[in-house]
Amino acid sequence: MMSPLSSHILFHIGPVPVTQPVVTTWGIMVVLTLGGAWISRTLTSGRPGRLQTLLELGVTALDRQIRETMRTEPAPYRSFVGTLFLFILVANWSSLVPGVEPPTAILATDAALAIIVFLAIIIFGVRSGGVTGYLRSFLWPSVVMVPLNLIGTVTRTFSLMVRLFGNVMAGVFIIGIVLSLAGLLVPIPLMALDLLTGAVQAYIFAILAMVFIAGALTRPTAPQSIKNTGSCS
Amino acid sequence: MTVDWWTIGLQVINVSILIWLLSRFFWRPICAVISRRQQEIAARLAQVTDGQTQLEADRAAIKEARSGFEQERARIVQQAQQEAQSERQAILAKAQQDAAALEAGAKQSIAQEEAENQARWRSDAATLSCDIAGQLLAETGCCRPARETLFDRLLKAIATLPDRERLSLRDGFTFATATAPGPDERQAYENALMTAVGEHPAITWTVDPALVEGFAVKTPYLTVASNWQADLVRIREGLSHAGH
Repeated sequence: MMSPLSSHILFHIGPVPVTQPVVTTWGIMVVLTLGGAWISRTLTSGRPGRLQTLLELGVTALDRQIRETMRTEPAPYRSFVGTLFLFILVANWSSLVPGVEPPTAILATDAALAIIVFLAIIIFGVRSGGVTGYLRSFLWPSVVMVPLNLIGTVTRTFSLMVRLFGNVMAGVFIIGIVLSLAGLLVPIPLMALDLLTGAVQAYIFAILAMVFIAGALTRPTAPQSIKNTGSCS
Repeated sequence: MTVDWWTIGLQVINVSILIWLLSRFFWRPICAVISRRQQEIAARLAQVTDGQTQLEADRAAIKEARSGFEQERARIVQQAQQEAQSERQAILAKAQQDAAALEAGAKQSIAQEEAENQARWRSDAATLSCDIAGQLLAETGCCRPARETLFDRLLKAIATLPDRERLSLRDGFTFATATAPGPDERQAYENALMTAVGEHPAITWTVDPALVEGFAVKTPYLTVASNWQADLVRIREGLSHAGH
């Protein structure tokens, strides 16, 4: 087992080394994109099938979660948060495929995800209240808190990375160690636990991303004005 | 420990591309479908609400109409009862009038019939009495004084005749007696008649038992009677008309 802090280089594209997590991520991208496109083509405005019903239920639940967490309409954030959740979930569960190491078990992938969330906080914050509004969000609740808010912006990004990395990497390591020590069927309960852990970590990552982005929004919508209609606009 | 910046950068790019791809090919279509379905459901709900509102309005209208029906029914029943009462009273009044008219007519008819019966009975009784009297007088005969009295009355009747009628007797007449007179009686009667008329008229003698007793002087235009038959007829008529 390689160190989780380093990645195995598979090939180079010019000067760029392409590591194993990157290739796995490409595979996940292909699966998710093709799967999403295929599902989209099966959608109907008439009576929905089981898959569409399940999908609409998931999207409605996601919208409700965004609405309750961010106190705003979910439409601008649905794609970002939903894709993060799906990618992390599929990446975590990719450990079930023999020979595939989940990309999220590599620190670089978790760091990339954390960086994306960090950038998203800035982008959504600036889009919501402009540069001034976003910068003014550091003054909350008082000017004294500006250094702590600045440090918090970095540390929470770091915590996102470390939390996801630690949990997924630990699961992979435990399964690997148990598999090397015991028989073939012994790690199965731990793999089931790893499935649960992967789903929970994906959920936690998405929730924290929503919380951090909502904290950057300078015009938080009053809870009373948010109608929990479940609309997908 | 080294940081694999290339991998970090590639993963940032990969995840960013994935976010764009899924947004383009997954989230947007499914949200469009969900939104479309929600709009359709909202439209159907609106239709249902409209239908429900229409239904409520129809129900209220039906209720109002039913209330109107009830009022109309009550009014019609009341009107019918009033009409029936009026018609009943009219029929009753007419029946009472008819009954009164019938009663009056019946009473009148009964009274008239009773009067007619009484008149008929009286007439029958008079006829019967006269018949009995005539029969008794015919069977028992009469006495001379009665005959003489009847003859005297005949002479008085001739004397009281108007002159023109009394003088017409001079042309002749028929002298009827109830029984054939003897020669003496005949002569006496003839003399007395001559005296009463004033000349010697042509007298045709005849016997008529129907006279019962007495005499009758007859011309084609005049009859002077003094006999019991005429008296009985007169009495009978007098009795018959006594009740009227």
